[in-house]
Amino acid sequence: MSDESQQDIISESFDRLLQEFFTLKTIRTIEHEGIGASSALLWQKLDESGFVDALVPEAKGGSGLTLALAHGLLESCGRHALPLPMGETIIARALLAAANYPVPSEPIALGCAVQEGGDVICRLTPYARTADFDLLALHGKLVLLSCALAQRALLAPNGGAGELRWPAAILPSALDMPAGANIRHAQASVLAAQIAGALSQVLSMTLRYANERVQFGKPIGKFQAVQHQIAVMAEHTAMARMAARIGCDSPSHLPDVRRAAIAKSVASEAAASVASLGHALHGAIGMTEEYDLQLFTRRLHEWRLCAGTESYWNRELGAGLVQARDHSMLDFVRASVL
Amino acid sequence: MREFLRSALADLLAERRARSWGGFDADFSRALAQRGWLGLMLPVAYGGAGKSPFARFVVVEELLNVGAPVAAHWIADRQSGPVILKYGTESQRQFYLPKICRAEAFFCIGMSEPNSGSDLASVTSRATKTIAGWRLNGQKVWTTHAHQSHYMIALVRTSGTTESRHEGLSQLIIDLALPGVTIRPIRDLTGDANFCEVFFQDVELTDDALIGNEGGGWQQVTAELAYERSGPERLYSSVVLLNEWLAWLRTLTAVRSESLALAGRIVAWHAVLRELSIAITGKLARGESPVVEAALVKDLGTELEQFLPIAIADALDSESNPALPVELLRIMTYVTQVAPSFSLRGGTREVLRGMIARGLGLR
Repeated sequence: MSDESQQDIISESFDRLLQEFFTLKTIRTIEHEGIGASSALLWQKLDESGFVDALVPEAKGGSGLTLALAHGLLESCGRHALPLPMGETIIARALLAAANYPVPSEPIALGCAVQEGGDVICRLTPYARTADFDLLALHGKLVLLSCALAQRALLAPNGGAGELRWPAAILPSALDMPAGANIRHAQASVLAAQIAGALSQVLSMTLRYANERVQFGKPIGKFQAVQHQIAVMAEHTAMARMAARIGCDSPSHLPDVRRAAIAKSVASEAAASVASLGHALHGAIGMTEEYDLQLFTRRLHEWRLCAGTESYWNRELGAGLVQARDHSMLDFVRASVL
Repeated sequence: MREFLRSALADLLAERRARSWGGFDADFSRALAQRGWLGLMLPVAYGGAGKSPFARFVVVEELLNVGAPVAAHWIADRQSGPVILKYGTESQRQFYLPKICRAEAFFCIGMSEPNSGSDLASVTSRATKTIAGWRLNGQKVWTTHAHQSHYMIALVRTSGTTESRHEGLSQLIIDLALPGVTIRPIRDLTGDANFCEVFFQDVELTDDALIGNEGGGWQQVTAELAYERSGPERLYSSVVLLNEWLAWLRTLTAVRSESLALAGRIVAWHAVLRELSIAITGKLARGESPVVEAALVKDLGTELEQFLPIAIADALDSESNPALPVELLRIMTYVTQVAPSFSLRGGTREVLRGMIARGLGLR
């Protein structure tokens, strides 16, 4: 079986699971309650499905997939506006298994932490609201902290992202970072794939709306100005999807650092532009809580912000290119992507 | 191939290499042909290499990356050859394809007319049936390198009127040396004179000038445009400028973070668009005609190509960099001047976005 068809089968069955259990109504409930009965029940469904252990080696009870094969799962998480850190937990479990550390059954967020006055702070955690644990990179080591012990400051009353702060006293012993592991790049490739999934959803919602909404006696999708804006949305969505595929293109459970950088840069830029075009074309209805567009566009902006915006990754890529003295841009791209 | 390019282009100034696929050098094209790098996708029986579109992708990237002057054989190699292979008769294939592979037949594209730009179906050049073949009257314009080409594949009306739209159009191969053909180069805003107006006055063509089906011109030209739009060249028009800018950045002791971010954005976009272009090449290799995808990648590719000179000019930060090399500034100025054409040739931005919208199910 080719990698592509294997990937399709994996993501199709995951999609069916999400469709069954994660209705947009349930997602709203979890967004409202945070960690609670609904989130626990749904997390149990995800955990039982086995998809959360996709990247854990078979010898340790997982599926032993590569990140490339799991790419479709990550995109699905975005396409369904999943309010739980499924994608990040997939990575976290693989990292913990590699470090021979006991894996908790609850959702685990990823983050890069700093220490200030003894406190450990993770400034931008995309799933600060619903994660039970945070697997942090700190001083070149890995630390698994319980979010129940952290002060949470969410970025918005309905948002998933926020700052987590742990008082110095509760720090457990740190784990050695597995060789080659890099939390920020792993998180970047996960979020890029989720952005790609959410963008596809925003594009298809906008297409549907443009064909249904009638003004001046015809569907607004008949107007050339509207058509061209939707064409631009489709272009940027196609770019983000290819970027996310590149970001996950890895034969191991962790991404290649340069490909992750390309993915998060392009996906983040697309997230901002497609979200704003989607809202512009929907008009006022898109601003309501009741209409589903906001479930995706709010996440797009959060995921763009977390794990490095486009400029962060562009600087890293640019520095790599300038330092690669004998390489033309084509050489650099070929060496990075193929 | 890089070794060959290094020595063949050793004396060519970067300013000339910045012409990219606009640079015309028949001797260079013949040197490529001698090494087997033309007609890569054409069957061996017709003098080609019988390789997949991916082989051409790699060779084209190598040529464009250094700004090799490929214009002489460019159109024939990219689209006229494949069109003749797909729609031509056996004798047409045997006549034209080996010449294309040897860089002895250069082609130009006869699509635009003074009153038919984006609205290509409104062409009024007309061929009427005669006993021996066809009599052609009309005019083409913006025909790149017509004055240095041997043949044109033209879209002309063979029946009906402009109101018939996509019906009644056909493709003809025109020998540009025939009596009644007049070609006048048009000077462009950079000072070059690459595109031309071409007049046909009672040009007598034989029967075998018709390629493909009479009346099938619109379908054929649509397929031809997929070849024209999908190649890697839609990413490389500004690449000589980019590589010269990089070379300059690498001489500096410290590079400003704005420049690093710009270089990174260009690389990220390029890497992703290149993968999309490779995916389209895969579809072409499987015999599909990815018209909408090609439009999408061309529109994005030209956006990147046009962004480059504008953004690099800003990143040079001319006031605080008194030691800017004038050669780099000259390349930048040339690319800035020519950049508007990137999203005009091969279908305007507006036409492409209309195609994408249609492909998405709007209209």
